[in-house]
This record gives sequence, C-alpha cells and structure tokens, in this order.
Amino acid sequence: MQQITEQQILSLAPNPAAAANGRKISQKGGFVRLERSADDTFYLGECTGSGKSNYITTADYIVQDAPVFRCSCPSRQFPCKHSLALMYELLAQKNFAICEIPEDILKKREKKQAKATKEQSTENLSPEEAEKAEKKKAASKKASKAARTKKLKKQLEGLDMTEKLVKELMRAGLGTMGGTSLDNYRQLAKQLGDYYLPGPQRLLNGLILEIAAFQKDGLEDHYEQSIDILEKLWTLVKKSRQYLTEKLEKDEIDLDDNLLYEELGGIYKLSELEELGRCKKDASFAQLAFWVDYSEARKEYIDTACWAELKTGEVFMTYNYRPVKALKFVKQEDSIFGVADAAMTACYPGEGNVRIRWESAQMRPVSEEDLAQLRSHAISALAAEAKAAKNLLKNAMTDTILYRLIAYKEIGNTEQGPALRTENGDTILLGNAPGMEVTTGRLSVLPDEALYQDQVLLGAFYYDKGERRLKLQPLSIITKTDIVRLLY
Amino acid sequence: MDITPIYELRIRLKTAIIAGTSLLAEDFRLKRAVEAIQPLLTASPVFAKIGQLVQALLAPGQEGKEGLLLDAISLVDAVICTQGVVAVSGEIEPIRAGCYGTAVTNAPYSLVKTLIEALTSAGNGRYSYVIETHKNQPHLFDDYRIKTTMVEALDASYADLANQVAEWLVEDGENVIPLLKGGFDPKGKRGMVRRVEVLDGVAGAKENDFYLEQLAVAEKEVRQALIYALRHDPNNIDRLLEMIKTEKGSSKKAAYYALAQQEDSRVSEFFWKLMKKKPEDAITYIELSETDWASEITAKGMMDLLRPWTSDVEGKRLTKMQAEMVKLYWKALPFKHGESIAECYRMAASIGSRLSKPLEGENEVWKLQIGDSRGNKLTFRRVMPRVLDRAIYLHPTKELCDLAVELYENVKNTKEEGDYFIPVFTAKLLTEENCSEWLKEQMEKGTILGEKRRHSIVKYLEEGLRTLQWDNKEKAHILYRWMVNPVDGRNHTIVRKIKQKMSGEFIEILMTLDSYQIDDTLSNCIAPEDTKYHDILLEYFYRRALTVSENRNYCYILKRLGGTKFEGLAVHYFRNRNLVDRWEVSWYVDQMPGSAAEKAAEIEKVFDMIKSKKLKGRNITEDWMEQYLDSVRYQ
Repeated sequence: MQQITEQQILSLAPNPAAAANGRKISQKGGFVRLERSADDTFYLGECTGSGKSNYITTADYIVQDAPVFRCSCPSRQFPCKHSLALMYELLAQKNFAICEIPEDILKKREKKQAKATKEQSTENLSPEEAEKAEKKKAASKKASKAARTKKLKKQLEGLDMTEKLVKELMRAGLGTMGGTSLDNYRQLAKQLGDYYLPGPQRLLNGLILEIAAFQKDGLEDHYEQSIDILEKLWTLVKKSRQYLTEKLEKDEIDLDDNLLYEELGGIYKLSELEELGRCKKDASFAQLAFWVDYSEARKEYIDTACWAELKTGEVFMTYNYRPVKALKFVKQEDSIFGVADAAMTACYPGEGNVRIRWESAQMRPVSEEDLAQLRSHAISALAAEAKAAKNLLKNAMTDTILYRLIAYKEIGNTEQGPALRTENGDTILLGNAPGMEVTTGRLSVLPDEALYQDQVLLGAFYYDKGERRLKLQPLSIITKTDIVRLLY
Repeated sequence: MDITPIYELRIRLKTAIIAGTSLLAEDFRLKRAVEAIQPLLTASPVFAKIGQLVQALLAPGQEGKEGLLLDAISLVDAVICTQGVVAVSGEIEPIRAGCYGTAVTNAPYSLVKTLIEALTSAGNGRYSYVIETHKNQPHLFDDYRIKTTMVEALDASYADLANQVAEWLVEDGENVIPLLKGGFDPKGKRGMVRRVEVLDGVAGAKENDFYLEQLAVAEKEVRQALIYALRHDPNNIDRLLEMIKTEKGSSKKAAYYALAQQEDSRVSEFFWKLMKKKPEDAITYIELSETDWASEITAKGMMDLLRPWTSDVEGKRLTKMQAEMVKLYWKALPFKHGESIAECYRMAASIGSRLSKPLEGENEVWKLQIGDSRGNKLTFRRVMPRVLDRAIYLHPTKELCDLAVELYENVKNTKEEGDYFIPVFTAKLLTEENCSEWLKEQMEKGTILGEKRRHSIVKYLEEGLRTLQWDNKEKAHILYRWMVNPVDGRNHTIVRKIKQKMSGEFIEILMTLDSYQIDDTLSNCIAPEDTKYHDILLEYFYRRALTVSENRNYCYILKRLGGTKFEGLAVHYFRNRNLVDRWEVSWYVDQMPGSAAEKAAEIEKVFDMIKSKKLKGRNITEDWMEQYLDSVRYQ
C-alpha cells in the first residue's frame, strides 16, 4: 500500500477546508467500496455523495511523486474532497480489495507515456526533419540573442537613470523626500519596469515606503532602513553596470549564474538552472522552519522555508512568491513535517543560504537516522562561525540574516537576555531579527527541559545595530527524535 | 582598539545623507568626526580607505560627493558589522520548563498562525473561528505557541473572546500561572483584570502573596479583582475588615464580597449586624456565599419577610422595598444549603399564589423576569421552583434533590405542578443514569388533567433540555447555563455533565413529544462516533419534516447532520402555503438537503403544482421557473 502522510495530503489540498472535508468523509465512513491494483499503483473508492448516485474517485500512482486524481463528482476543486478522502483512507490503512486496473485508466496512462516519449526523442527524426529542427533552433537562438542584447542595453539605460535619481536624492538629502516628491519617485519607480529593472524598482519602492512611514510616525528607524536600502541600491547599480557592460563588450549575452541577474529582477527557469549546471541530484532535505512574509514593496506574499540537506547540514531556502493580484491563482504553501527526497534540485546563484527549487520531490517522514545525520553536521565552533557570519552579513548585497545549524551545550537566561553556550564555552545572545516574528518568548514555555541542553539549534545570525552585536534568533530545535519549531 | 570614533562618524554620515551633500561644506560636526578617526587610519587598510573617502567628501570642489557619501557609509557599516560583539558576559541561568502544560503539536503554519491571528487581532469571524477550532481541535491550544497567545488574548478587544479564553485558561489549571504572572501590570486594563480572575480561579489561596504584593500598587478594576481574590485565604479576614473601612467604590464592594465568603464567627457577626442595619446590602454581599452563617441569615431574612403570607391576608400587598428584597433573596438562595433553607423553600411553596398580586400602590400584578428561558415575566409562585432548580444545578446534593421531589409531590394536580417539575427533572438529569421510567410515569399516569398535563410537561421538558448538547472536549452530554457574577457583572458559563444516558428509552420518549425545540436539542446531542443514533435520528427528523407544516428548520437540521433524504420535503412545505414567493423558493432550496440535481427535481414538482394551479405563486412566471431550475441544477 502507498505510504501516505497527513502532510502530503495537506500539501496537495487546494486549501485547508478541502482537507478538513476530506477527513470528515473518511472519518464518517463515506466510502462504500475501496479497491486497489495488485501492484499498488492504482486506488479506487466509491463514495456516497449528497445525491442518489455515488461518486467514483481514483488515485493513479503510476508516477510515484506525481499522483493523478480523478473523480466523477461535479466539483471544480482539484483535488476534490473525495480524492482527499481517499488519501485519508490510505493514511488510515483501511482494507482495499484487489482489483484490475480499469481499461480507461490504462489508456490514459499509455497516452501520457506516448506524449512524454515524443517530447524527449529526437532520434527518430529523418535527416530533413533534423536539419529543419536545427535551423529553427538556430534562428530562434539568433533572435533571442538580439533580444537579449537589446534588453541589456535598456537595462544599462535604466541603471543610468537610477544612478541619477540616487545622486539627486543624496544631493538634496533624504529629509527632502516627502509629500509631492514621493509621488514623483513613485512615478520614477514605475518607469524602471520599462527598463527591465524590477530589482532596483523594488528597492526604490521600499525606500519610498520607509519615507512615507517616517512621515506618519516620525520614527528614526525608517531613516536607518532607508540608508540600508540606498546602500544596497547603490552597490547594485555600480556592480550591475560593470557586469552588464562587460557582457556587452565581450558579447557574452547568454544567461549566466551571476547573482546580479536575479538582483536586477531576472527570473530563472528550472531548466535554465539545470543547463547552467546548478543542480544537485538525489538530495534529501528536511524542512526545519516555515513562515510567510509580506513585502509591500513587492506587493507579494512570500512563503519561506528553511531546509537542511541531510548529507551536508547546509541550510537552503525555498521561496514561493504570491503576488497580491494573483492570490487566487497561486496556492499558499504550508509547513512540511518531513524530508523531501528530490531527484533533481536546482540551486540558485548566491552566497549564504542559497535558494533551491525542485519540480517534484518524494515526501517522507523524518526518521531518527535523518535527525542524527543532521545533528552530526551542526557547527560547534561558534566563534569562528560568528566571524564568518559577520563577514557575509557586512556585504550590502547579501541578505541581512544567515541561517545555520548550531550545536549547543545549553540555552538559558543571562542579565542581558536569553543566550546560548556551546560545548567549548562560546556564547551568543539570542534575539529576534528585524522583520522576523518573535521566537525568544516561546523559548521559555517549551514543554521539556531537555530541549535546553545538548541539542542543535537552527538559528538566524543577524547584526543588532542598536546593541552593536551579532545575535542569533532561535528558529527550531533539532533533538534526537523531533524537530521543535519555534516558528511554524 | 577603541573604535568609538567610527561609530560617531557613522552618525555624522547618516545626518549628511538626511541633510544632503549640498550642505556638507557647513557640516562642522562631520569635520570633527573625520579628525577624530585620524589615529585609526594606520590601524588597517579598511580604515585608511574610510579616511580617504571622508576626506574626499569634505574636499572643496570634489566631484561625485553623492556617490562618495554612499560608498563611505557602506564601508563604515561593513566595518561596524565585523566589529560586532558576540560573546555574552555573566552566568547562564537554566530555564525552568515543562511547567506550563504546553506540548509540541507539530501543527502547521496554516493552523497555528491563523489561530494566533484570530486570538490577537480584531475582525469579523475571528471569534467563531476560535470557538470552532477549540471544539474540533482542542489539542492545538496546548501548543506552546498558542498558550502564550492565549494570555495575550485576555486583552482582546472583543470581550466575548477574551472571556472565553479566560474560561479555557482556568480549565488548564495551575500550569498557566507563570504565564499569567509574567509581565503582569497592576495598573493595567481589562487584560490584567482577566489575568487576576484566571489566577483566582486556578490558584485561589496559593497565590495570596502575589495578590497582596500587587495590591500595594494596583488601581481600579485590577485592584477590585485582587481584593476579591483575597477571599480564599482566611488569614485575610482582618485585612478585608479594614479594607471595608478604607476602600471606596467598587473596591470596597469587592472587599465585602470577599469577606462574605469566609466561614468565620467574626465575619458572621459582622454580617448579622449589617443585616439588622442594612438588610439589602447584607443580602447583596452574601449572594455568592456558601457558608453556614450566610445560609442562616438568608433563610431567616426571607422567612421573616414571607411569614405574613403563609396565611390569607386580605388586602395586604408587598411594598416595593419588600419586593426588591425578595429579588435579592432569589439571587442568594441557589448558593445556600441546610435545613433552614429547605424550610424557606417549603414556606415559599406553601404561599402559592398569595404573592401573585399587585405591589402596594400599583395596578399591575407583580411579575419578575428571572427564571423563564423565553424571557417571560413570572409571578412569585413560578419563580421559586426555578430558584430551587438553579440551586440543584449548582449543587445537586441529595438534600436538595429530595426536597425537589417532596415539593413536586405536594403540588401534584395543581397549577404549580409543571413549574415544580423543572427542578426534579434537573435533579434526575444530573444524578440518575436512567430516569425514563419516572418520566413515562409523569406523562402517562391518568389524572384529571390528562392531555393538558402531558402538554404542560412537554413545555417544561423543553425548558429543562434547552441547553443540552454533546461536548466533544468533555466527551459527554452537558448542560450549560449563564449566571451573572455580581462582583464583575459578567455572565459566566457554568457547565454540568449529565448522568442521564442519552440513549435507549429516554431518547425514544423524547422522539414522541412532537416538539421542535426538543428535536433541535436532540440534533445537538449526537456524539460523532455514535453512528447508530445518528442514523436513527436522521430518519426521525426526515419523518418529522414530512409531518410538520413548517419544516424548514428540519431541513436545516438534516443538512447539518449530513442527511441525504429529500423526497417530498419541498412539496410538503409549499403545499401548506397560501402564496409562494420567489424568495421563499430560493430560501427553501438553500436549506434543503440533496444534490443540485435532486433539489431541482424536488422544486420542479412544486412548480408543477403552481402551473396546475394547485398552488398560488407570486411573480413566479414560467420563464422564471425555467431559469431558476437551471441555476439550481448547474450550481
């Protein structure tokens, strides 16, 4: 029988209500018939509906990590509650009678297989067809090179415009940025979109938001945030100009894995990252923390998760961007309590905690062996790691937070606040990074004292400007048997 | 190496960014800051670079100062970051854990975060979301992330939510004490008051030291709540007697209420004296007191007042003051016990209708508003059994239950019979596993009153069973009632598990009563795992829907319980209407169980009746019928 976890069901459900409805159907004995194929790739359930006739719902696991659900109910939700209920039946390990795979399912499988084969294979093309395909490819390559060149030049123009804007602002001073001038800046920010510069556009929007907020509440902190943005914007403009100019001069217009491509607002396709050789094969990642941020500058919700690779202990990030305008169409992600085994994982360029993405991954529960493996990679030389963290965090272009696994001897209270101590006596204060939800308060209400000793912490290094100190925000505690999340 | 000059430089560079590079030439503070870093310039290349940049900033005629300023501050920020302190001085004290009753639930973001937001922010639907989640997933509320939020939620702007959370925290027990005390502000607002109330409910006398400590500075409502919390510890008696003299307003009242809870001869003497001087105050303050002396004072006071009416007194009327006193006694009686209280009830029962007269100087018969669940005004003779019922609900002791039976038997075949049925029925629900035989006897015994008696009892059964429901957390059938606490003026929910089994003959009797109210109660009494009664009741409700002319409520029940039978429901309903409106059709279809196709088929039969003039429709044309049927079929 398929091994299903509730987590998998929740991740497939279009929303929590659908999952809850599916659970209810299963718990109330909604299925009058349950069958499966002898090879455990096909499952069928006959479910009572609100009408006279029952619904037939099936789950086809011919591709293990991409099951196909079908149901005769009229719901447009996908997967529907009956499909989810069928998964709950599997979760509950109910008794499924053996059946033959229906003819229509077999035909659908064949059709799908044939399509996949056709897309992959070029070997069967005749010489004329092959030449035609090659010419078409070359023509499209030429056209896209011209388009990319044009784009790069336009971006350079946009960077010039941005630089001019920043210089004018520096000349006049941040203090003059307010009232009607903010509207002008908003217009200028909009224009950056025409120059293929969504990255600088977002930064400029962020700056405008900080100044607008300062006008409302007068808090100095907004100026600090504004300066951080200006530093990043200035560095981005300078480095990007050099990068783009070099590409044009050397006629190396093709996509590369320079961090600046994304910082300028470029979006990598998974296939592009694979072509650039930025992928890991057969890697396993355990999710350690999850949360959702909202960026007013981007007008997007960002579902963020920290994953630790079991083999190396390195912490990676996944981001799911959900624009406000398209919220209805992009599914919100949720916490995953398990390990993702991915055949192919794309890694984005960058320093610190690199972003990863996969097309599909097999989810499984975390085992004690997984946890042991993770714990074995945790850093114990805190002082050295803190130094490395500072060297990374000091750069204007990198993220202001760095996530790491730290092995600690104890977590407790000091006069200055909660703190962590490693086996070799290194200590660091625990705090809450700007923009992150408070987690230190939750430390003191954990249910088990053992969590404060000899464990591994997923912590976020950040620089506290007010105290001029490097601190660590606790996000999750990894024990020998569990992952205790201080976030979600 | 002291890098203080670098921090100062940073401040000046920030100021320059705010003021603008056009004013750099006049920035003497920046110049001073640049001078101050000179000794550091040889310390490392990066400081030298900073020096270079800031010198260029100040150089007259230098081009590109805007960029230089940003370069300079970026570099300074990078240096400051690398200089950030890491190590912590001093000892690390262990954190005491495992004492908050929290748990690791591994609940996902979608559940936990939504619940946290519902508990801490304002907005429509949040209260019902919290209630539903607590009903369906109570374990979530033990999650350590939620537990701390619940304490925050005591300050929620929506009072019902905050009060409900307070009740849940009390149920959690002593684990929550450290969370309540952490960050406590004795000068705070409603949230802090609720913290005290929860502490009071959970810890009682154990936190007496905390109450006293906070009282030193507490103000207003928090002070009042802390004073009331002193009632648990008899060592506070002298203090409370003193507070009655020194406190003012609500705090003074709180001191009275707190003192009244003490079983002590000094307190008894104090209140006996008060009873002589100001009986209305005395009875008010001893309302909640369950002490022996409070029972004696209440019994004596009430019987002295009622005694003249134990025989017929022509023309005599209660004064308004006496009527107000009776109302106070009614509030106090449910918390009292003992033989003298029983005598009080007997005396009141013997008075019967003698007090069902106008008050002195009035024309209207004296009626009251407490007791009847429908909010009807009741006379004295009808209120007294409800007071006894309330007393039994609070404390179903053998003495009170036997008293209820005794009084009920005494009034059999009189018009008081129905009213005195209520406390007996409550007593049986709370103390007996199966009162079916007794219930059948009450309903079927042939007497002069016959059908009228049966009807009367159904009415009182409706009243007695009104709040009965299955509670998923308690895993039991419960009754709940609200009682106003005079100290804080709030409604508090008091829940009681019934002993009566909701199965077998008892349910069968309830299904014969032809009462929608009881049917509604039954629909709330189905335990989720009880598929047997779920099916029995579904079938019963379906049959009832085909019997009663107004069956919309049954449709709602059927749909809520997942019923699928629909045939004949709409036809039966509309057949009894004089006129069919469009909105009524839509409304009914919404309430009906059944799939879209089935609903359409059923409503089509109703439309056929309209077409054949068996029913009259208003604004229901053939076109509209066709369009509407399509909209139902394809919804």
